[in-house]
Amino acid sequence: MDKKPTWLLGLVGILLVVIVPIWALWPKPAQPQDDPWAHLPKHAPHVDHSAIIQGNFKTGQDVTKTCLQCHPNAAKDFMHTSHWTWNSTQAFNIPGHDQPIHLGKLHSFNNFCIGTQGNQRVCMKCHTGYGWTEEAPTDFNNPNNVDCLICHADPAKYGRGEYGNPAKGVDLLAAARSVRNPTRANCLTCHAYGGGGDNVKHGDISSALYHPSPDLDVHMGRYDMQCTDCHRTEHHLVKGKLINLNYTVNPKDQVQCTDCHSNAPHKDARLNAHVQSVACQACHVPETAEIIPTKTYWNWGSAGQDLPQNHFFYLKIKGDFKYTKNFIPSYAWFNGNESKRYIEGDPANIGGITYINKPAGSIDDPTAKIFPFKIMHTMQPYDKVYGYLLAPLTAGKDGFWSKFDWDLAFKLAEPHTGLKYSGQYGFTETVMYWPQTHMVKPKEKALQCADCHGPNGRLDWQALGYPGDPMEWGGRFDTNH
Amino acid sequence: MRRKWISLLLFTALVAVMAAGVALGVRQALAEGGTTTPQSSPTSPMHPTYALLDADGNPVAQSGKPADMLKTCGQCHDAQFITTHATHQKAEQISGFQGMTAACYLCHSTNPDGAARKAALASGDTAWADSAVLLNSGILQKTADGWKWNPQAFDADGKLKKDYVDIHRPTNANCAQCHGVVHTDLKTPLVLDSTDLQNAWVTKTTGQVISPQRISASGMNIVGKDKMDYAWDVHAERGLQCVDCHSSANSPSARRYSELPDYLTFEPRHPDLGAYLKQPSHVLTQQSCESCHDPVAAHKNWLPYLDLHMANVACETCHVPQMHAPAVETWDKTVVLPDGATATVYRGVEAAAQAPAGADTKEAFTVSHRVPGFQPVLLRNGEGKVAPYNLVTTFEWVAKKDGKTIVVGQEALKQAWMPNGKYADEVVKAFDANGDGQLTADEVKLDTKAKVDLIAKRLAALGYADAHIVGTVKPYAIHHDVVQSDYALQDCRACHGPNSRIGKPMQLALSAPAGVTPSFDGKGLKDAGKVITEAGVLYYQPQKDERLYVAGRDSVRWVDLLGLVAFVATLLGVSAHGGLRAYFAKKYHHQHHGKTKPAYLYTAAERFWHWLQMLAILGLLLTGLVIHNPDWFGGLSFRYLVFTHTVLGWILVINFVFALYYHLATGYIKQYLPKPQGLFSRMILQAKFYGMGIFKGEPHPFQKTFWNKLNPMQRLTYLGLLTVMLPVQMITGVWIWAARIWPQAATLFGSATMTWVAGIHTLDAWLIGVFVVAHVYLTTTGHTPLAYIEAMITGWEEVEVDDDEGVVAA
Repeated sequence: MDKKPTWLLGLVGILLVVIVPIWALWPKPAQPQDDPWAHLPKHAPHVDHSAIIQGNFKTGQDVTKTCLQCHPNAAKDFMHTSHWTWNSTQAFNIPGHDQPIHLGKLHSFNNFCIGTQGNQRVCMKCHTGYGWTEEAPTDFNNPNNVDCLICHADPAKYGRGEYGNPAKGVDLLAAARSVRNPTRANCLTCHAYGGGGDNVKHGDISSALYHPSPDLDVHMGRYDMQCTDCHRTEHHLVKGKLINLNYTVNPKDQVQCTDCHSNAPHKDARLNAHVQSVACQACHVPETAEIIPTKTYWNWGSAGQDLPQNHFFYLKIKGDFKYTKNFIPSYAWFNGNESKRYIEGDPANIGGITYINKPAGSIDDPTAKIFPFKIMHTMQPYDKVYGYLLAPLTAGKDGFWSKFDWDLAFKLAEPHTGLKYSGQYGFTETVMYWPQTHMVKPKEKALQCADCHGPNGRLDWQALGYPGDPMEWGGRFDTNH
Repeated sequence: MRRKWISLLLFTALVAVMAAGVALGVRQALAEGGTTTPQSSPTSPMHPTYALLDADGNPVAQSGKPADMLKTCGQCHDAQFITTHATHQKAEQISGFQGMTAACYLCHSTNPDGAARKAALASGDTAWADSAVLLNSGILQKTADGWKWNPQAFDADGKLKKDYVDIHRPTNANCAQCHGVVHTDLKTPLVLDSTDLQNAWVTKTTGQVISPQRISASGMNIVGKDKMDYAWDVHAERGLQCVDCHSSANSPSARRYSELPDYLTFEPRHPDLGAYLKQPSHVLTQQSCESCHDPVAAHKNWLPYLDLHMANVACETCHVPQMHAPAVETWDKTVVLPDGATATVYRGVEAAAQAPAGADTKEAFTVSHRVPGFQPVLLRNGEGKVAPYNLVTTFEWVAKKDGKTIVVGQEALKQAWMPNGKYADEVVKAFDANGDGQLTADEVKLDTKAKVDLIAKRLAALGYADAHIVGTVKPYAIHHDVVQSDYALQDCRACHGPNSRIGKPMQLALSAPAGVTPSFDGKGLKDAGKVITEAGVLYYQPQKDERLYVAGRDSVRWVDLLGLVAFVATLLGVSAHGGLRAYFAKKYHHQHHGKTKPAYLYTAAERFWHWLQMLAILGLLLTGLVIHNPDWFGGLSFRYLVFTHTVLGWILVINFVFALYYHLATGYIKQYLPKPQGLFSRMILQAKFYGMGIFKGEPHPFQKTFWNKLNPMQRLTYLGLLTVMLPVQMITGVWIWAARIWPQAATLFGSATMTWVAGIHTLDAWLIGVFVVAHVYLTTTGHTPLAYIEAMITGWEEVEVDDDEGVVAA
């Protein structure tokens, strides 16, 4: 009775007859939901360097040399990135200029501390390199000048002081032994403090993100995600570009919500219909600067006076300001690029508003979406004769912050910026747009319909180009209106 | 010179008087909350300026008389038509609302002062009542000298200035004045206490709150609110206004559906806009969900038995699963509480918190009370669908006065209880339970006949003869506070389970005054349930709908009982039989059975059919058991079980059809047909073997061959199984399945068809269960306990033989 294989076959057959139809007909969810977790990058497992790194480090460069022994390509790769160059890899065709122009922190103006040139002592605290001096920039071609520790060391063990050199008292050996994948704390060391203080510049990036609550930022708070989970990094090239220093951004190079989330992430078709005209951030970043206020107005014109000083209202070195907590963004069409960018030497719009940058897009641009921005208003100096904005020497030797002499500060800046100073200066209003894209809220804290639609909505529909509230007047892609 | 002095003096006096006047005016204005210059209203961009006219048709700016709204609005609109074609005509019978259809501003302006109108009506100042609504508008002021039109608001010709024209279609805030709690502000947390419900009839009677705010953002102490990230009302959240669904019947912008023939979804013909503005019907429509939604499109991809669900379940049943605000449960209008109020008990707010001992009132609940909310009761509405309701039970005195039977009013009752604003002495004596000479809210209770008689006697003294207490249970339909699919009832077991929401009773009152059983006022409903009392607490038990067989909830009790008895009896029977076999086998050590020989009994096809059928039946019995009693296996998804049961059922049917064909084609069917001759005696023989011989180790009475492998009892049983039990089960099963596609199947033999079909299906399932037990047991009666099972696997069996010829090799 050697029938065994036969009945086994029968058993398999019977099971198949039962299982196959159940499996094949099993009710599928109406809408297959994309799993965002599947898209998260896998970080290399952490290697504890405490036993690996030996040496007697006197300077930051000494540490870098040691790093490069095992990671020979690290500095070479890194030196191609804007973290190092402080200049855009691409040159942009900007209206009003014949030649393509690079943008970057190295020379571009903003409307906070205005410019870095000549102000190495303070500004280069956040450049990822060593070797800056009062007189000259660092040697951008020397790999040993790359500061590995600022991104990779435990910030509790490492910090930078003047000219970007390791701060006094730092134990470089301990710092070097603490290296690991960059955490939120590493990135925030610089990115939360742009513009001269906590959350001054961005509005959506502050020290509150060290330990955010789930309601402050769903990714970092509820799921403890790190910056590099979205700003994926390959060969030290960190994904994601700030529009302010890149006139155009190839969508491939930008961090997108859709890197992990599907294009129709809501269960509600009506909400998904919003996706073609409304950026995710518009509803999911309903407000920023909830814990740390952000600077929304800065008047350089009042600087230099002996008035009562307070970080939030007036500083002699900087002038007077306004800070806003629980900042409600402004909304504008945005296709990922800029329509305006002020270049050093461009004529300023005296008496009106000079846009340092302005997002590109309009209701007629199908790729543009309504996006939240922080709009920064500043009264900043310009040359009354030449008509362009001026960047004073501030932190540099004999700069405005030590002598409080505008004429001297502009004169001293001449060799750094290449902009002649006529001897007459004034202050004019400038505006910058800062995208609000971090501090993403979970759905239960996102905007609701009535936040935008209906009588008390926060959007100015007519300013956006709609005839009226699209809930009543129809959207821009509707064919029947 | 002197003249100069005099004129100076006069001038000074004049200035002083003017200054005093201005100062007085300013003070007056401040006292009245200040005159406001309203901003031009963006909500009435088209309405022209107009003159407010008095009853004589003269501009009020000149006459100073009260405005007559019919004259005023009648300048352009057909006021006569409006007042006679208005839903709110009904409200005009309620005090405080009289003449409401003429109070245009109440519904058509921003921030109308309805309270001022009510106060004017109450004080008898009816002439100014409709104008009083304008108190907040800056057009009208109330001064010490009486009502004053603000001259600043009018042009020289008596027309309102543009900035003061504020006419728009009613907003939710307008409706909220009388109908219920409306909260449009997303930022301010919504809070409610019992005083907020005074003028909020709909909220008070049902717990419905119209707000786009997420419940989690509410300031109330709602149990579990941190998980309730959905709006109070999804329509309010989506920007709908009350008048979007309750719209003017002849508005050109409102869709009219009900009168359309099937082949149309939209009526393009409508009155000209001008004609409409002349005669806007103020009869407000009551749109149903289907006016805007297509429930079939929304549910067809996942809801089984779509037609049955749609025919029997109102949308609100699943889409308003829970009320999050308190609503009135009982109004005891037979007593007067120490603070003069009616005793009100709310549901949906924690009872312990409602009336602290020694309180003056039962009514108060505050924002700090825990609000668990409540599940509406499901009643069959006018269409016969189960729909959510709140039940409000009112107890009140009914008496004869002036030859008419009337309800004793609040004022008369107060007279009876507290003639001078204080409880009468004999009332205190009778009700003072703790003997402190004072009455508190919980002592004022008509719990004995003596107390009832006392109040009746006191009412009689006031001219209310034959006073007795009547209780009424009134259902209030719930249509708002709709939640979106994600938050709607999606768990089938909410209805398909022993704890089904359908038919679940609702508490009416913790106690009834002197044991009065209230009657149910189900006018317009198709629900004739009963008020029942359990341990003194009154409940409403909805009527059981015989048409509905709700799988998982319903069962035919005797079927289950019978089935269970048969099943257990069989189980016990085979256990006893098996025990005896083992006992005798030990005792006699009989070397049973004669000679054996291997024989090929079952073809591969037969075996495949058998085992597939076994697997299907076993699966069907198990899934069926859970579907029948979902709560026995709480964790399993009802929906997926029903799905698995269906697929297994079809496998069984298809397998059966193939097997039938196989048996017919091969002629193997003959094995199952009992030979009529001597059948009875042969069965006796087989029964004798199972009853006696098997214990003694006797050989089986019939020799097994390929063509004769079934003993007479088996033949008969299998014939029954294959021609009756399984076909019946398959037919009833397919029938139940078919009802989801062809709803007619559910009512083929009258409205209770499914109850019968399901009952038979269940009974047959029990019988098949019995068969399985007996069948599995009898497989152990071969020459070794596993011999038969092995045979069914391999096809070969060691059969007992009398002689060699008996075995037929395959």
